[in-house]
Amino acid sequence: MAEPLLRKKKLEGGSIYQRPPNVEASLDALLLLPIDQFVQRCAITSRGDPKYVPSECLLHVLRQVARLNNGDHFEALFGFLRQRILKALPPVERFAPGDRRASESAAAADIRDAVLAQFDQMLCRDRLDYEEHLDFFEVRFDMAIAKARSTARRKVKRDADRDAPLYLNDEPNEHTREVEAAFVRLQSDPVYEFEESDYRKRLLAAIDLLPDDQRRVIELQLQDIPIDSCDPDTVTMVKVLGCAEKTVRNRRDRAHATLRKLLSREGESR
Amino acid sequence: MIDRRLAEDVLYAFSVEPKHDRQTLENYLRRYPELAEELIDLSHELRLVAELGESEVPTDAPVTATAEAAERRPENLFNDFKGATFAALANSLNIPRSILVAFRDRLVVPASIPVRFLNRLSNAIGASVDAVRAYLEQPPTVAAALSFKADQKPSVPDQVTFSELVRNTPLTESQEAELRQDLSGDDRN
Repeated sequence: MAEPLLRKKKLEGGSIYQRPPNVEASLDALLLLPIDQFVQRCAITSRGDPKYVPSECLLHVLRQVARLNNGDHFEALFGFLRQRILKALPPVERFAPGDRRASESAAAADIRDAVLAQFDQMLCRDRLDYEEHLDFFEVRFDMAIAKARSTARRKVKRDADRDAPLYLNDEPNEHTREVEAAFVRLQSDPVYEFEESDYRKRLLAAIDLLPDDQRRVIELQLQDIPIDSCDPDTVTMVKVLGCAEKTVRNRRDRAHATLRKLLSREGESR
Repeated sequence: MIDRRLAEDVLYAFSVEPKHDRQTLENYLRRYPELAEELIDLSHELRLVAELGESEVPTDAPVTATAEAAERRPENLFNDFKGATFAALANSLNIPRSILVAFRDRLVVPASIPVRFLNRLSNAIGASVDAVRAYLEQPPTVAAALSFKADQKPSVPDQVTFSELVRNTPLTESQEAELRQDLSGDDRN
């Protein structure tokens, strides 16, 4: 039914991207099915189901069908793909502190629409020619969706509440032991107890609410990247963000104070 | 200034890397310092995907239920409780209707339900504890995402724990007292 090879070349080395072996194996098997059966199986939504069609494979066949101008199957597969896209978007608003959930839902809806619009455009281009960026979605669908979401997020104008500065009046140097402790737990490989994972999710959703410059410092902190270093070859926050050490520390401290506030407010509202 | 098309290639390439650890991020930050902010933002997004799991999606596309799946579906214990009788059931349990809805739709992690509450619920419905347990252990009725990415950490179903549900629901004083009793002496939450 289709050529299983991708076209996109890697930036380094120039070799062509390959699907992970498990996706490749699923695709080989699925391509043997009559198209009607394939479409039927795409309706299965549980990943645990042995007949579940990986999104990477669904997209591959959709791209083939689109080029063949097979209206019926295209419509059905397109519907399933939209569901997969929506499902792959992380439910940040669900874990946001209670008083921010409504504004987060509004922001999430805008981001969702922007991601779907991006995808529609790529599929249109793919139908006419070959949109190489869609190859990435055939490699790791959910992760490529994260990229699409990141782009969408930049485009989406956050609503007024979200734009309101989160800076609190706390002293920037105030000791924020709980948040520090939470980070240690977030950084270390977790024991996946449910409560623990629930707390991690709420912490991540709160990090997501931080202003961009603070959130970036926190992400770098979570990746264990040092603020500064005497070694000129070390990647540091100061170098990467292009600002003074003191600025980085201030952003980090403000972020910690905000997170502590958001999470304790969350605790009170529960 | 980096070309936008190349920037997109870089960001997509980063997103499909097998790992998104410090080393991978550092490699990209070294090679593409102009894209530092976008790479860090993307690193955060990837973390959200890995940790927060999937969104729930309403089934507006054709529904999947095959005949065999329908056959396997256990009896809906709430069939006899609709409208006023549903409200009466909630009242008899001294819980808000929204909590009962969560049970009806199987949105509660079965293992997190205190035994005392399970007993109260089965008594009120008029079914055995085992039947109630079997019912609650079926997948949620909304087309909820149940499993996470296979290549991610072990995951929990897309449900809430009993204590989380209680925390997130506005309660009257007497409801709160009742549910507290359910929770006390049960350390699974």
